[in-house]
Amino acid sequence: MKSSMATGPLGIMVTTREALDHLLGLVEAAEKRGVQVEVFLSGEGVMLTQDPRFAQLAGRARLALCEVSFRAQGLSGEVPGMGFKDFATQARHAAIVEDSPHYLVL
Amino acid sequence: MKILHVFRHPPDGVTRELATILSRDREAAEFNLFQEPVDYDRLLELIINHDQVVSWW
Amino acid sequence: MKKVAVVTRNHQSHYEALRTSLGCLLEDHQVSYLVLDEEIRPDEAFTDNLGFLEEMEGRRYSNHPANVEKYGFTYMDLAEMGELLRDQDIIIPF
Repeated sequence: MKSSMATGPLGIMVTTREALDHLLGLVEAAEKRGVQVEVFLSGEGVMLTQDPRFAQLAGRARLALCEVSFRAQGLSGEVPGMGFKDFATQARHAAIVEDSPHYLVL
Repeated sequence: MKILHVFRHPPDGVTRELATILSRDREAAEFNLFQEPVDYDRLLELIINHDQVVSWW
Repeated sequence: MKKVAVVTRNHQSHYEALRTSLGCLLEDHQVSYLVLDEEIRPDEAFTDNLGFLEEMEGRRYSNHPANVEKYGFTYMDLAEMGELLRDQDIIIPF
């Protein structure tokens, strides 16, 4: 367990399609405090990429998604704020779990 | 051990029972993410200041 | 290495939760996959991944008898699941 005042990235796993408002709100709050945010979209969470507001996250958080989920939802094409390597596997999420002293599911 | 329960929806009996067990003998706080308006600054503050966060269904 | 529990309680999430569990196992986390209340409906890929979970020493628990009888889950009631969750570093309600 981490100490109560540990600093470091906030890892956010997104598994639902209704989470964009919460994600935007938390990223804005984290910016104000200088907390880095790492986001992984999985399952229906990949649907957030289809909302035009998702582009607001580009450059403000480290973004990645599960490519298998992305394809399973019938999606294709580029995503704002994500490069080729950010179309990732569940191992990326597992690394976020390892490296993030703060972790949240949306 | 400080635990933060974040409820994405109003907790039903199952969620409440699990949260109660997790809170036993621990310092516990709750945040209702389903209640608008959401104070994200407050939520982040709570996340950072707790040892564990459980974001329930 | 962290202790990770992935907890799912609706059939739409069973398979995705299993995939997330496997990803955590691949990174050497200690993983428990918990299915609450519903019987899983495994297709071939789901069945294969349940096998991988077992091979990689992931644990699977359920309070639904059919998951115990048909799919090799260890039975655990809700209160016992709560006790297991107390011992985890990361809890992922899926």
